[in-house]
Amino acid sequence: MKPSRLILLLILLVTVSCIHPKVKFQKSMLLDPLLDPAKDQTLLDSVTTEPTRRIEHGDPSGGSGGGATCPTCGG
Amino acid sequence: MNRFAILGALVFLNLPTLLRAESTRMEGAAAVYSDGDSTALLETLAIQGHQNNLRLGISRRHPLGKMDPVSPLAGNETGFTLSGEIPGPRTEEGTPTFTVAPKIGWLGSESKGSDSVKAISRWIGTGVSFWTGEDTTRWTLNLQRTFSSAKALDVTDVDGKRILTPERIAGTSAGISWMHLATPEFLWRGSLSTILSDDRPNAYSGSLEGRYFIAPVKAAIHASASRFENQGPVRPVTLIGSIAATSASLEWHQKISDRMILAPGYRWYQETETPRAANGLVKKLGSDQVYTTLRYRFWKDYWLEDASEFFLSVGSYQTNTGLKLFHVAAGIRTTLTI
Repeated sequence: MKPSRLILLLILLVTVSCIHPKVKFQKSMLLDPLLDPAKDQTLLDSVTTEPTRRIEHGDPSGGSGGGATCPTCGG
Repeated sequence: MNRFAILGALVFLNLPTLLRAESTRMEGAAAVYSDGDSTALLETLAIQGHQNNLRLGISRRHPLGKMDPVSPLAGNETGFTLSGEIPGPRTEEGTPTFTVAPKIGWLGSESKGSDSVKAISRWIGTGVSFWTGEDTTRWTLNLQRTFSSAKALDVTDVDGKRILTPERIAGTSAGISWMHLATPEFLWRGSLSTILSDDRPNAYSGSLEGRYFIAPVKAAIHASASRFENQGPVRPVTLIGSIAATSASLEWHQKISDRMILAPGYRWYQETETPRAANGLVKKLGSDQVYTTLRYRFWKDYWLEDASEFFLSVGSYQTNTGLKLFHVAAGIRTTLTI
């Protein structure tokens, strides 16, 4: 998929999410902690992704400005 | 006792006081990786003040026993990150209108083989987060600057062109990510980011993830996909061609008691590398990763951010080039009150 199409798709999804009927609740009101909003901040996630880090060149996290540990690409 | 162990002990003993936090969250994990012939150990520690969210993370990876120098597990790596959160003015309900999260980090690596190569990467950045839509959507903006240094490499490419890699590389990454609590059973997240680097074409990436809780079976499904493109003219200053990569993953988080969760997962990845040289070979890398985690939470109905838990993780990683890696990991997270 071309980057421009991907960006358009993501913008469309964000727009749809923004016009979703307003539901006032905080994250503590999510039905169950299994949804784990903070899962990516745990060490568990880092030990699982470690094997891929030096073998693959694509950003394994999908890119959110985090990481920045690759001396080759600077990302 | 090595320097890493001394530093880790000092952190665990003293940082709660330095953080001036009444309670401190600590995490520690160790993981063993093996490709059948060589084995490496990853040790990670993180400590975080509960009130100010100042967080220090330290990690170290090193060989265990005899190491094949061409193994992807070869070499040593040590890194640390320091991050914090500065809340903006609070609303009437007491929640911050926005949060600024600065961070710095350092990563040093050394590969030992016929030719020892040392590389150091340092970064500084910040993120700004805020909630919209009556606290149903959290947005995060990230900006980061990375400085890397490594021994310069001088090689001749397959088309006879000389490739000379720079000793110092700087890069900037910027991104936006969001998490939308759509319903009490469903949240979805996404991100868009770009990386501008001295030695590479501009890179763009995007990801989407959905998490849905299925109440009748007390389970949640986590599905995600991402795309990474680092394409464009590649100058003779890097050994890697232009890259396009796609990944997808699926996890099933099943409660098997009030305190225990079993979470098997699968990740699929495919990458195409187009070389700089016109007569070079296009490389296609594909990988499959299967992993399972058992998590035990010490308190039932405890919200994750404050939860104390123990986890065990096992997994295998296999590429279409014949590489196989296995891992076993264990970790614990707890909150100490002083």
